[in-house]
Amino acid sequence: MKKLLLVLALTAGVAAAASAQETLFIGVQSAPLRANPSPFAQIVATLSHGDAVTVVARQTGWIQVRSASGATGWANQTLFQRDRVVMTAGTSDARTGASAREQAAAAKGFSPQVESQYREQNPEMSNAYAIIDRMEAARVSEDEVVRFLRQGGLL
Amino acid sequence: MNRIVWMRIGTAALLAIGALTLNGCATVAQVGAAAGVITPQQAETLANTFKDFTPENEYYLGRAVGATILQRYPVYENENAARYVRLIGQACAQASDMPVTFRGYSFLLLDSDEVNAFAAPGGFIFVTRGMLRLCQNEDDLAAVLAHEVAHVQLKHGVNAISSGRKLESLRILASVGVSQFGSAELVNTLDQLNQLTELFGASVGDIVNSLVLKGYSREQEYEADRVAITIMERLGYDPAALTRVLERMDSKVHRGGPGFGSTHPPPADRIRAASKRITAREAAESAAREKRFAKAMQGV
Repeated sequence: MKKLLLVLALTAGVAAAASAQETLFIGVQSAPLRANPSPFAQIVATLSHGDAVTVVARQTGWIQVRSASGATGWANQTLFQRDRVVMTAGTSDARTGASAREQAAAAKGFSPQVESQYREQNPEMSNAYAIIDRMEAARVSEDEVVRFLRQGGLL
Repeated sequence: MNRIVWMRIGTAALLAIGALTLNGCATVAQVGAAAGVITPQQAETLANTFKDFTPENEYYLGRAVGATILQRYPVYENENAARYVRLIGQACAQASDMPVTFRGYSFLLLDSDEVNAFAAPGGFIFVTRGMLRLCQNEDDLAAVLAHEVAHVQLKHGVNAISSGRKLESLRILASVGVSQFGSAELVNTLDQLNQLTELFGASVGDIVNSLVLKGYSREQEYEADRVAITIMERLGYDPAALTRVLERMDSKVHRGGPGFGSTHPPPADRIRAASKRITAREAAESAAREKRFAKAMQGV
């Protein structure tokens, strides 16, 4: 039976030992790489959660990285994580009786699956979670923020 | 938040502690040794890999903390004010040293006269109507939002989780890593899902308790004030607005009463500490800021 095979990619120490290059992974859903280590600098590329990058340089709180596609740019150090947990389709038979959903939950920690079980146990929170979804959906773009700041004589 | 919910959180915490005490939780080294597939050194590497929560972990904690807060406070529906807060808040976030969270920062207004604001892990920020009314201009509001962003950047919410509970969560994560290298049957992942969910509920309880009931420590508030000043300086807002807001709070908020006054150190102490950090400067006068503040705050 085909199950999801969880592959844990460890980089700390291992990758560093294999080559002098340091590898990091994007820890957020959408990570803008900027031309300079500055909050509103031009965006040169946008990377996704789990993407691997190579460290090029560091500067107080900022890391310059190169993506797999060759794009080079800066991002705040908090956007990166040292490890990656990815799921790939595989043929491993885990023989645990646990579903792929449960394996994914355990591998990813506080994840959609944990939230799902937590919400099942706390059904009275359903409306509040719907408001959180709405709160998240109400976004302003970076362009809007920059325009807003300039119009207010800021930046 | 009603009493029933608080009891539930308390029960979840006890259950989680009980589960861990009864079952024990295999450490990375124990699982690895049992499997005979990894060396202690490799186990150590795995443990280090999971030494902290990822942005994604913080995000799901933040959603649950936010949802818990929303069981206590109704939403203030005022799109003009909400959008204005989102723009200033997002600017503060981007100028902070944690400009992006897992899915980005989000902001919501709460319909309460209480002078208060909350920041949950992952960048979920709530501001009460009472707090909006306390602000007299855009720089004041920026000071409040910069302070909340600072709590997110400094991970004060996640740090409120009891260290034992945090360690157990991270250990469960690490033991899964071991199972992938060795034999998957070593780990009962269904048990892990249950354990993680219990730990999750208890962790949310820890954070809400700190955020809503006890408040952060005095040192954490000073730290957030310091970071807020930096954020405001980066954006060009007048950092002295922070002390003005604190002064107003000092005169309006009753200590011992509900909300901000009961969960934060005396504003006078914070004003003294913050003032030392603020360099005297002329904030750029802006008719545009005054005008848009007045427009956004209409009816608040």
